[in-house]
Amino acid sequence: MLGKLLKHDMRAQMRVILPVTICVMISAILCTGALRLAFVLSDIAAEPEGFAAVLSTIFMSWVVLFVILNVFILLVYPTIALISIVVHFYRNLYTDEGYLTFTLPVKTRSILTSKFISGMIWQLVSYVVLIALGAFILIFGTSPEHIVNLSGIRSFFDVVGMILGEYGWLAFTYLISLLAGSFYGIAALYLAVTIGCVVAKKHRVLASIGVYYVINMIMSTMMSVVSFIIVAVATAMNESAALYVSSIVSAAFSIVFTVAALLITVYMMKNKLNLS
Amino acid sequence: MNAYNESASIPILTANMLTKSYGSAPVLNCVNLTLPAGRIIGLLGPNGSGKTTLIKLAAGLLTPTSGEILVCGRAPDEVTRGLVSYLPERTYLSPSMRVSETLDYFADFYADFDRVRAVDMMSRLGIDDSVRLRTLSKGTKEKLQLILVMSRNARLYLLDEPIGGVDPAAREYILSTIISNYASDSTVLISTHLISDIEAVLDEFLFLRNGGIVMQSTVDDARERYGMSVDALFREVYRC
Repeated sequence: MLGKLLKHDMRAQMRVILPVTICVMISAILCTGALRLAFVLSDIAAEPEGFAAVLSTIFMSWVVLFVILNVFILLVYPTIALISIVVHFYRNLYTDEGYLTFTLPVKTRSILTSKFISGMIWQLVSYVVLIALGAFILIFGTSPEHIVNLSGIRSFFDVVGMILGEYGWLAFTYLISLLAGSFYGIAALYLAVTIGCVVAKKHRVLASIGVYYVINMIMSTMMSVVSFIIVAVATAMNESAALYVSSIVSAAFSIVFTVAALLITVYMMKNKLNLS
Repeated sequence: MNAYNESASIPILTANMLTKSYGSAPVLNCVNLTLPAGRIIGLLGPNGSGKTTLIKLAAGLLTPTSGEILVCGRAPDEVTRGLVSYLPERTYLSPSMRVSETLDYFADFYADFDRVRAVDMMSRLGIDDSVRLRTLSKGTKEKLQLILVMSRNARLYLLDEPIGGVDPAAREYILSTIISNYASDSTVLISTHLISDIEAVLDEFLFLRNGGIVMQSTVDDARERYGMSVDALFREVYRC
Protein backbone atom coordinates (compact mmCIF):
# COMPACT_ATOMS: atom_id res chain seq x y z
CA MET A 1 0.00 0.00 0.00
CA LEU A 2 2.95 2.36 0.64
CA GLY A 3 3.78 2.20 -3.06
CA LYS A 4 0.24 3.20 -4.01
CA LEU A 5 0.21 6.03 -1.49
CA LEU A 6 3.54 7.22 -2.81
CA LYS A 7 2.30 7.10 -6.40
CA HIS A 8 -0.72 9.27 -5.62
CA ASP A 9 1.26 11.67 -3.41
CA MET A 10 3.93 12.12 -6.08
CA ARG A 11 1.24 12.72 -8.68
CA ALA A 12 -0.66 15.22 -6.52
CA GLN A 13 2.51 17.19 -5.70
CA MET A 14 3.61 17.10 -9.33
CA ARG A 15 0.43 18.95 -10.34
CA VAL A 16 1.76 21.99 -8.47
CA ILE A 17 5.54 21.62 -8.63
CA LEU A 18 5.83 20.74 -12.33
CA PRO A 19 4.25 23.97 -13.64
CA VAL A 20 6.41 25.97 -11.22
CA THR A 21 9.51 24.08 -12.43
CA ILE A 22 8.63 24.79 -16.07
CA CYS A 23 8.21 28.50 -15.25
CA VAL A 24 11.60 28.54 -13.49
CA MET A 25 13.22 26.82 -16.49
CA ILE A 26 11.76 29.41 -18.85
CA SER A 27 12.99 32.10 -16.47
CA ALA A 28 16.53 30.62 -16.55
CA ILE A 29 16.51 30.54 -20.36
CA LEU A 30 15.32 34.17 -20.49
CA CYS A 31 17.97 35.09 -17.92
CA THR A 32 20.68 33.50 -20.08
CA GLY A 33 19.37 35.34 -23.14
CA ALA A 34 19.32 38.60 -21.19
CA LEU A 35 22.94 38.09 -20.10
CA ARG A 36 24.02 37.56 -23.70
CA LEU A 37 22.11 40.70 -24.69
CA ALA A 38 23.90 42.57 -21.91
CA PHE A 39 27.26 41.69 -23.46
CA VAL A 40 26.15 43.08 -26.82
CA LEU A 41 24.75 46.25 -25.22
CA SER A 42 27.85 46.80 -23.11
CA ASP A 43 29.93 46.92 -26.30
CA ILE A 44 27.63 49.61 -27.74
CA ALA A 45 27.46 51.50 -24.45
CA ALA A 46 31.25 51.55 -24.31
CA GLU A 47 31.26 53.92 -27.31
CA PRO A 48 32.17 57.42 -26.01
CA GLU A 49 29.38 59.28 -27.83
CA GLY A 50 26.11 58.81 -29.65
CA PHE A 51 22.43 58.39 -28.99
CA ALA A 52 22.74 54.59 -29.40
CA ALA A 53 25.19 54.52 -26.50
CA VAL A 54 22.73 56.37 -24.21
CA LEU A 55 19.85 54.15 -25.23
CA SER A 56 21.86 50.98 -24.74
CA THR A 57 22.97 52.15 -21.27
CA ILE A 58 19.34 52.65 -20.22
CA PHE A 59 18.31 49.38 -21.82
CA MET A 60 21.19 47.55 -20.18
CA SER A 61 20.12 48.69 -16.72
CA TRP A 62 16.74 47.11 -17.39
CA VAL A 63 18.45 43.94 -18.56
CA VAL A 64 20.50 43.83 -15.36
CA LEU A 65 17.36 44.24 -13.27
CA PHE A 66 15.70 41.47 -15.27
CA VAL A 67 18.68 39.17 -14.66
CA ILE A 68 18.63 39.91 -10.92
CA LEU A 69 14.90 39.15 -10.82
CA ASN A 70 15.39 35.85 -12.63
CA VAL A 71 18.28 34.82 -10.39
CA PHE A 72 16.07 35.62 -7.40
CA ILE A 73 13.28 33.42 -8.85
CA LEU A 74 15.79 30.62 -9.30
CA LEU A 75 17.07 30.93 -5.74
CA VAL A 76 13.60 30.92 -4.14
CA TYR A 77 12.46 27.97 -6.27
CA PRO A 78 13.42 25.26 -3.69
CA THR A 79 11.52 27.27 -1.06
CA ILE A 80 8.45 27.43 -3.32
CA ALA A 81 8.75 23.65 -3.81
CA LEU A 82 9.01 23.16 -0.03
CA ILE A 83 5.94 25.34 0.58
CA SER A 84 3.91 23.37 -1.97
CA ILE A 85 5.01 20.10 -0.31
CA VAL A 86 3.78 21.31 3.08
CA VAL A 87 0.56 22.75 1.62
CA HIS A 88 -0.15 19.34 0.06
CA PHE A 89 0.46 17.69 3.45
CA TYR A 90 -1.92 20.12 5.15
CA ARG A 91 -4.65 19.90 2.52
CA ASN A 92 -4.48 16.16 2.09
CA LEU A 93 -4.64 15.42 5.82
CA TYR A 94 -6.23 18.28 7.72
CA THR A 95 -8.84 19.75 5.39
CA ASP A 96 -11.82 17.95 3.82
CA GLU A 97 -9.47 15.68 1.87
CA GLY A 98 -8.42 14.18 5.20
CA TYR A 99 -11.81 12.45 5.40
CA LEU A 100 -10.68 10.28 2.51
CA THR A 101 -7.00 9.96 3.40
CA PHE A 102 -7.62 8.87 6.98
CA THR A 103 -10.29 6.34 5.98
CA LEU A 104 -8.07 4.51 3.51
CA PRO A 105 -7.31 0.93 4.56
CA VAL A 106 -3.66 1.72 5.30
CA LYS A 107 -1.63 2.20 8.45
CA THR A 108 -1.31 5.77 9.66
CA ARG A 109 2.46 5.48 9.63
CA SER A 110 2.32 4.50 5.95
CA ILE A 111 0.42 7.71 5.20
CA LEU A 112 3.11 9.76 6.93
CA THR A 113 5.97 7.75 5.40
CA SER A 114 4.56 8.32 1.93
CA LYS A 115 4.20 12.05 2.53
CA PHE A 116 7.74 12.21 3.90
CA ILE A 117 9.37 10.25 1.06
CA SER A 118 7.47 12.11 -1.66
CA GLY A 119 8.29 15.42 0.01
CA MET A 120 11.98 14.51 0.16
CA ILE A 121 12.01 13.41 -3.47
CA TRP A 122 10.48 16.68 -4.65
CA GLN A 123 12.78 18.69 -2.41
CA LEU A 124 15.83 16.90 -3.88
CA VAL A 125 14.43 17.38 -7.40
CA SER A 126 14.19 21.11 -6.69
CA TYR A 127 17.86 21.18 -5.60
CA VAL A 128 18.95 19.27 -8.72
CA VAL A 129 16.91 21.61 -10.95
CA LEU A 130 18.41 24.64 -9.16
CA ILE A 131 21.97 23.36 -9.67
CA ALA A 132 21.30 22.35 -13.30
CA LEU A 133 19.74 25.71 -14.19
CA GLY A 134 22.49 27.60 -12.34
CA ALA A 135 25.06 25.65 -14.37
CA PHE A 136 23.10 26.36 -17.57
CA ILE A 137 23.21 30.12 -16.92
CA LEU A 138 26.91 30.04 -16.03
CA ILE A 139 27.82 27.96 -19.09
CA PHE A 140 25.75 29.77 -21.70
CA GLY A 141 25.37 33.25 -20.30
CA THR A 142 28.72 34.34 -18.88
CA SER A 143 31.18 34.45 -21.76
CA PRO A 144 31.38 37.74 -23.70
CA GLU A 145 33.10 36.12 -26.68
CA HIS A 146 31.62 32.62 -26.97
CA ILE A 147 28.21 31.05 -26.60
CA VAL A 148 29.65 28.34 -24.32
CA ASN A 149 31.92 29.48 -21.51
CA LEU A 150 34.54 26.72 -21.90
CA SER A 151 37.20 28.46 -19.86
CA GLY A 152 34.66 29.01 -17.07
CA ILE A 153 33.75 25.31 -17.10
CA ARG A 154 37.41 24.37 -16.95
CA SER A 155 38.05 26.75 -14.03
CA PHE A 156 34.98 25.42 -12.23
CA PHE A 157 36.12 21.80 -12.49
CA ASP A 158 39.65 22.81 -11.47
CA VAL A 159 38.26 24.37 -8.29
CA VAL A 160 35.96 21.38 -7.62
CA GLY A 161 38.89 18.99 -8.20
CA MET A 162 41.05 20.98 -5.80
CA ILE A 163 38.37 21.05 -3.12
CA LEU A 164 37.68 17.34 -3.44
CA GLY A 165 41.40 16.58 -3.43
CA GLU A 166 42.15 18.56 -0.31
CA TYR A 167 38.83 18.56 1.56
CA GLY A 168 37.01 15.58 0.02
CA TRP A 169 35.83 14.07 3.29
CA LEU A 170 34.86 17.42 4.67
CA ALA A 171 32.79 18.16 1.53
CA PHE A 172 31.19 14.72 1.84
CA THR A 173 30.28 15.16 5.50
CA TYR A 174 29.00 18.66 4.75
CA LEU A 175 26.80 17.26 1.97
CA ILE A 176 25.44 14.57 4.31
CA SER A 177 24.76 17.24 6.90
CA LEU A 178 22.85 19.32 4.30
CA LEU A 179 20.80 16.30 3.25
CA ALA A 180 20.00 15.38 6.85
CA GLY A 181 19.04 19.02 7.41
CA SER A 182 16.57 18.75 4.52
CA PHE A 183 15.06 15.61 6.08
CA TYR A 184 14.67 17.45 9.35
CA GLY A 185 13.24 20.54 7.64
CA ILE A 186 10.34 18.57 6.18
CA ALA A 187 9.75 16.45 9.31
CA ALA A 188 9.69 19.59 11.49
CA LEU A 189 7.18 21.27 9.16
CA TYR A 190 4.96 18.17 9.18
CA LEU A 191 5.11 18.06 12.99
CA ALA A 192 4.31 21.77 13.26
CA VAL A 193 1.31 21.46 10.92
CA THR A 194 0.04 18.42 12.83
CA ILE A 195 0.36 20.08 16.24
CA GLY A 196 -1.16 23.30 14.87
CA CYS A 197 -4.15 21.43 13.41
CA VAL A 198 -4.67 19.27 16.49
CA VAL A 199 -4.37 22.07 19.04
CA ALA A 200 -6.11 24.96 17.26
CA LYS A 201 -9.79 24.88 16.41
CA LYS A 202 -9.53 28.02 14.27
CA HIS A 203 -6.66 29.70 12.39
CA ARG A 204 -4.87 26.39 12.06
CA VAL A 205 -2.36 27.64 9.49
CA LEU A 206 -1.36 30.52 11.75
CA ALA A 207 -1.06 28.13 14.69
CA SER A 208 1.11 25.79 12.62
CA ILE A 209 3.47 28.63 11.68
CA GLY A 210 3.73 29.59 15.35
CA VAL A 211 4.45 26.00 16.38
CA TYR A 212 7.09 25.74 13.65
CA TYR A 213 8.97 28.75 15.02
CA VAL A 214 8.83 27.37 18.55
CA ILE A 215 10.08 23.94 17.41
CA ASN A 216 12.87 25.53 15.39
CA MET A 217 13.92 27.75 18.29
CA ILE A 218 14.10 24.82 20.70
CA MET A 219 15.94 22.59 18.24
CA SER A 220 18.41 25.31 17.19
CA THR A 221 19.23 26.06 20.81
CA MET A 222 19.75 22.39 21.62
CA MET A 223 21.86 21.84 18.53
CA SER A 224 23.97 24.93 19.18
CA VAL A 225 24.69 24.00 22.78
CA VAL A 226 25.61 20.39 22.04
CA SER A 227 27.60 21.29 18.91
CA PHE A 228 29.51 23.94 20.86
CA ILE A 229 30.49 21.49 23.57
CA ILE A 230 31.46 18.68 21.18
CA VAL A 231 33.35 20.95 18.78
CA ALA A 232 35.17 22.60 21.70
CA VAL A 233 36.31 19.18 22.91
CA ALA A 234 37.31 18.15 19.37
CA THR A 235 39.23 21.40 18.82
CA ALA A 236 41.13 20.91 22.06
CA MET A 237 42.18 17.45 20.91
CA ASN A 238 42.80 18.18 17.22
CA GLU A 239 41.98 21.52 15.61
CA SER A 240 41.50 20.22 12.05
CA ALA A 241 38.98 17.64 13.27
CA ALA A 242 36.61 20.35 14.52
CA LEU A 243 35.08 20.99 11.09
CA TYR A 244 34.45 17.28 10.49
CA VAL A 245 32.98 16.84 13.93
CA SER A 246 30.75 19.87 13.47
CA SER A 247 29.27 18.46 10.23
CA ILE A 248 28.84 14.97 11.67
CA VAL A 249 27.21 16.25 14.86
CA SER A 250 24.86 18.42 12.81
CA ALA A 251 23.90 15.46 10.58
CA ALA A 252 23.41 13.14 13.57
CA PHE A 253 21.25 15.74 15.30
CA SER A 254 19.14 16.26 12.20
CA ILE A 255 18.56 12.52 11.83
CA VAL A 256 17.63 12.08 15.51
CA PHE A 257 15.28 15.09 15.35
CA THR A 258 13.74 13.79 12.12
CA VAL A 259 12.95 10.40 13.64
CA ALA A 260 11.57 12.04 16.81
CA ALA A 261 9.44 14.49 14.81
CA LEU A 262 7.99 11.71 12.64
CA LEU A 263 7.23 9.52 15.67
CA ILE A 264 5.43 12.36 17.46
CA THR A 265 3.55 13.24 14.26
CA VAL A 266 2.30 9.70 13.72
CA TYR A 267 1.30 9.43 17.39
CA MET A 268 -0.74 12.62 17.13
CA MET A 269 -2.33 11.53 13.86
CA LYS A 270 -3.40 8.24 15.43
CA ASN A 271 -4.53 9.47 18.82
CA LYS A 272 -5.28 13.19 18.74
CA LEU A 273 -6.82 13.64 15.33
CA ASN A 274 -10.06 15.57 15.22
CA LEU A 275 -11.12 16.62 11.75
CA SER A 276 -13.67 19.35 12.24
CA MET B 1 -11.33 -12.06 3.80
CA ASN B 2 -10.76 -12.80 7.47
CA ALA B 3 -12.87 -15.32 9.31
CA TYR B 4 -14.39 -12.77 11.65
CA ASN B 5 -15.76 -10.82 8.71
CA GLU B 6 -17.65 -13.81 7.43
CA SER B 7 -19.07 -14.83 10.74
CA ALA B 8 -22.77 -13.99 10.82
CA SER B 9 -22.77 -14.03 14.62
CA ILE B 10 -20.57 -10.95 14.90
CA PRO B 11 -22.57 -7.72 14.63
CA ILE B 12 -21.49 -5.26 11.97
CA LEU B 13 -21.24 -2.41 14.47
CA THR B 14 -21.07 -2.53 18.25
CA ALA B 15 -20.70 0.27 20.77
CA ASN B 16 -20.08 -0.45 24.44
CA MET B 17 -20.38 2.47 26.86
CA LEU B 18 -19.05 4.64 24.07
CA THR B 19 -18.25 8.20 25.13
CA LYS B 20 -16.69 10.99 23.13
CA SER B 21 -16.01 14.40 24.60
CA TYR B 22 -14.58 17.56 23.12
CA GLY B 23 -13.08 19.29 26.11
CA SER B 24 -15.37 18.72 29.08
CA ALA B 25 -18.61 18.44 27.08
CA PRO B 26 -19.58 14.90 26.05
CA VAL B 27 -20.95 14.67 22.52
CA LEU B 28 -21.70 10.97 22.93
CA ASN B 29 -22.42 9.71 26.40
CA CYS B 30 -22.22 5.98 27.32
CA VAL B 31 -23.80 4.75 24.10
CA ASN B 32 -24.57 1.03 23.82
CA LEU B 33 -25.46 -0.17 20.38
CA THR B 34 -25.55 -3.30 18.23
CA LEU B 35 -26.27 -3.20 14.51
CA PRO B 36 -26.87 -6.48 12.70
CA ALA B 37 -26.03 -7.28 9.07
CA GLY B 38 -28.39 -6.80 6.15
CA ARG B 39 -30.23 -3.66 7.30
CA ILE B 40 -30.69 -0.07 6.20
CA ILE B 41 -30.68 1.91 9.42
CA GLY B 42 -31.52 5.56 9.88
CA LEU B 43 -29.41 7.48 12.39
CA LEU B 44 -31.81 10.25 13.25
CA GLY B 45 -31.65 13.23 15.52
CA PRO B 46 -31.49 17.01 15.58
CA ASN B 47 -28.32 18.97 14.96
CA GLY B 48 -25.74 18.42 17.68
CA SER B 49 -27.21 15.12 18.84
CA GLY B 50 -23.99 13.22 18.04
CA LYS B 51 -24.83 11.59 14.68
CA THR B 52 -21.71 12.70 12.86
CA THR B 53 -19.50 11.95 15.86
CA LEU B 54 -20.82 8.37 16.03
CA ILE B 55 -20.18 7.91 12.32
CA LYS B 56 -16.69 9.41 12.55
CA LEU B 57 -15.87 7.07 15.43
CA ALA B 58 -17.00 4.06 13.39
CA ALA B 59 -14.98 5.30 10.40
CA GLY B 60 -11.88 5.56 12.59
CA LEU B 61 -11.56 9.33 12.24
CA LEU B 62 -11.95 9.88 15.97
CA THR B 63 -10.79 7.92 18.98
CA PRO B 64 -13.28 7.32 21.83
CA THR B 65 -12.76 9.19 25.09
CA SER B 66 -13.91 6.02 26.88
CA GLY B 67 -15.73 2.82 26.04
CA GLU B 68 -15.29 1.08 22.72
CA ILE B 69 -16.65 0.88 19.22
CA LEU B 70 -16.18 -2.27 17.15
CA VAL B 71 -16.63 -2.83 13.44
CA CYS B 72 -17.12 -6.55 12.71
CA GLY B 73 -15.78 -7.22 16.20
CA ARG B 74 -12.64 -5.17 15.78
CA ALA B 75 -11.62 -1.69 16.97
CA PRO B 76 -11.27 0.70 14.02
CA ASP B 77 -7.96 0.29 12.26
CA GLU B 78 -6.64 -0.18 8.73
CA VAL B 79 -8.45 -3.54 8.48
CA THR B 80 -11.89 -2.20 9.44
CA ARG B 81 -11.36 0.79 7.15
CA GLY B 82 -11.26 -1.76 4.35
CA LEU B 83 -14.69 -3.03 5.45
CA VAL B 84 -16.30 0.37 5.83
CA SER B 85 -17.40 2.61 2.98
CA TYR B 86 -17.73 6.12 4.34
CA LEU B 87 -19.48 9.09 2.79
CA PRO B 88 -18.88 12.28 4.79
CA GLU B 89 -21.13 15.30 4.61
CA ARG B 90 -18.49 17.22 2.66
CA THR B 91 -16.53 16.78 -0.55
CA TYR B 92 -13.38 14.86 0.26
CA LEU B 93 -11.99 14.50 -3.26
CA SER B 94 -9.23 16.85 -4.36
CA PRO B 95 -10.61 19.45 -6.80
CA SER B 96 -7.48 19.13 -8.92
CA MET B 97 -8.18 15.45 -9.68
CA ARG B 98 -9.87 14.29 -12.86
CA VAL B 99 -12.94 12.08 -12.49
CA SER B 100 -11.00 9.17 -14.01
CA GLU B 101 -8.28 9.66 -11.38
CA THR B 102 -10.83 9.29 -8.58
CA LEU B 103 -11.73 5.89 -10.06
CA ASP B 104 -8.02 4.95 -10.17
CA TYR B 105 -7.69 6.08 -6.56
CA PHE B 106 -10.55 3.93 -5.30
CA ALA B 107 -9.47 0.96 -7.44
CA ASP B 108 -5.93 1.22 -6.04
CA PHE B 109 -6.90 1.28 -2.40
CA TYR B 110 -10.12 -0.68 -2.11
CA ALA B 111 -10.03 -4.32 -3.16
CA ASP B 112 -13.84 -4.38 -3.08
CA PHE B 113 -14.26 -1.46 -5.49
CA ASP B 114 -16.34 -2.38 -8.56
CA ARG B 115 -15.05 -0.07 -11.29
CA VAL B 116 -17.49 -1.36 -13.91
CA ARG B 117 -20.43 -0.53 -11.66
CA ALA B 118 -19.05 2.95 -11.00
CA VAL B 119 -18.45 3.68 -14.68
CA ASP B 120 -21.94 2.45 -15.51
CA MET B 121 -23.55 4.72 -12.91
CA MET B 122 -21.43 7.66 -14.05
CA SER B 123 -22.37 7.20 -17.69
CA ARG B 124 -26.07 7.05 -16.76
CA LEU B 125 -25.66 10.40 -15.03
CA GLY B 126 -23.64 11.80 -17.92
CA ILE B 127 -20.52 12.49 -15.83
CA ASP B 128 -17.53 12.94 -18.14
CA ASP B 129 -14.53 11.12 -16.65
CA SER B 130 -11.98 13.40 -18.32
CA VAL B 131 -12.99 16.59 -16.51
CA ARG B 132 -11.44 17.93 -13.33
CA LEU B 133 -13.56 17.96 -10.19
CA ARG B 134 -13.25 21.71 -9.79
CA THR B 135 -15.35 22.12 -12.95
CA LEU B 136 -18.23 20.01 -11.59
CA SER B 137 -21.22 21.48 -9.77
CA LYS B 138 -21.63 20.78 -6.04
CA GLY B 139 -24.51 18.39 -6.74
CA THR B 140 -22.55 16.44 -9.36
CA LYS B 141 -19.59 16.16 -7.02
CA GLU B 142 -21.87 14.75 -4.31
CA LYS B 143 -23.34 12.25 -6.77
CA LEU B 144 -19.87 11.21 -7.92
CA GLN B 145 -18.79 10.70 -4.33
CA LEU B 146 -21.88 8.61 -3.62
CA ILE B 147 -21.22 6.52 -6.74
CA LEU B 148 -17.66 5.84 -5.58
CA VAL B 149 -18.79 4.92 -2.08
CA MET B 150 -21.68 2.71 -3.23
CA SER B 151 -19.52 1.00 -5.87
CA ARG B 152 -17.67 -0.75 -3.11
CA ASN B 153 -18.80 -4.13 -1.83
CA ALA B 154 -18.32 -3.08 1.78
CA ARG B 155 -19.75 -4.63 4.95
CA LEU B 156 -20.77 -1.32 6.47
CA TYR B 157 -21.77 1.84 4.61
CA LEU B 158 -21.64 5.00 6.70
CA LEU B 159 -23.52 7.75 4.91
CA ASP B 160 -23.46 11.09 6.68
CA GLU B 161 -26.24 13.38 5.41
CA PRO B 162 -26.15 11.96 1.85
CA ILE B 163 -29.25 13.88 0.79
CA GLY B 164 -28.79 17.02 2.84
CA GLY B 165 -27.67 19.42 0.15
CA VAL B 166 -29.26 18.10 -3.03
CA ASP B 167 -32.50 18.74 -4.91
CA PRO B 168 -35.49 16.34 -4.65
CA ALA B 169 -34.73 14.67 -8.01
CA ALA B 170 -31.18 13.98 -6.92
CA ARG B 171 -32.46 12.66 -3.58
CA GLU B 172 -34.50 10.08 -5.43
CA TYR B 173 -31.45 9.05 -7.45
CA ILE B 174 -29.27 8.82 -4.35
CA LEU B 175 -31.77 6.67 -2.45
CA SER B 176 -32.31 4.32 -5.40
CA THR B 177 -28.51 4.06 -5.76
CA ILE B 178 -28.21 3.08 -2.10
CA ILE B 179 -30.98 0.47 -2.26
CA SER B 180 -29.82 -1.12 -5.48
CA ASN B 181 -26.14 -1.33 -4.59
CA TYR B 182 -25.81 -2.67 -1.09
CA ALA B 183 -25.40 -6.39 -0.62
CA SER B 184 -27.72 -8.46 1.56
CA ASP B 185 -25.00 -9.11 4.16
CA SER B 186 -24.10 -5.43 4.41
CA THR B 187 -25.51 -2.75 6.64
CA VAL B 188 -26.16 0.85 5.65
CA LEU B 189 -26.19 3.48 8.38
CA ILE B 190 -27.67 6.74 7.10
CA SER B 191 -27.50 9.89 9.14
CA THR B 192 -30.07 12.54 8.27
CA HIS B 193 -32.70 14.86 9.59
CA LEU B 194 -34.75 14.62 6.36
CA ILE B 195 -36.70 11.65 7.66
CA SER B 196 -39.70 11.77 5.36
CA ASP B 197 -37.38 11.42 2.35
CA ILE B 198 -35.66 8.28 3.55
CA GLU B 199 -38.35 6.61 5.65
CA ALA B 200 -39.46 4.40 2.77
CA VAL B 201 -36.04 2.76 2.46
CA LEU B 202 -35.34 2.23 6.17
CA ASP B 203 -35.55 -1.12 7.98
CA GLU B 204 -34.61 0.29 11.37
CA PHE B 205 -33.90 3.63 12.98
CA LEU B 206 -32.06 5.09 15.95
CA PHE B 207 -33.07 8.32 17.64
CA LEU B 208 -30.19 10.23 19.17
CA ARG B 209 -30.55 13.07 21.64
CA ASN B 210 -27.84 14.87 23.61
CA GLY B 211 -25.33 12.15 22.86
CA GLY B 212 -27.51 9.23 23.87
CA ILE B 213 -29.81 6.79 22.12
CA VAL B 214 -33.42 7.50 23.10
CA MET B 215 -35.07 4.96 20.81
CA GLN B 216 -33.99 2.03 18.61
CA SER B 217 -36.60 0.08 16.70
CA THR B 218 -37.56 -1.42 13.38
CA VAL B 219 -39.71 0.86 11.25
CA ASP B 220 -42.56 -1.69 11.18
CA ASP B 221 -42.57 -2.14 14.98
CA ALA B 222 -42.64 1.60 15.54
CA ARG B 223 -45.53 2.12 13.14
CA GLU B 224 -47.48 -0.71 14.76
CA ARG B 225 -46.74 0.36 18.32
CA TYR B 226 -47.19 4.12 17.98
CA GLY B 227 -49.59 4.19 15.03
CA MET B 228 -47.64 6.82 13.18
CA SER B 229 -44.84 7.19 10.68
CA VAL B 230 -41.22 7.51 11.81
CA ASP B 231 -41.30 11.12 10.63
CA ALA B 232 -44.32 11.86 12.82
CA LEU B 233 -42.78 9.94 15.72
CA PHE B 234 -39.58 11.96 15.36
CA ARG B 235 -41.57 15.20 15.60
CA GLU B 236 -43.32 13.84 18.68
CA VAL B 237 -40.11 12.78 20.42
CA TYR B 238 -38.22 15.96 19.61
CA ARG B 239 -41.09 18.40 20.15
CA CYS B 240 -39.64 21.68 21.46
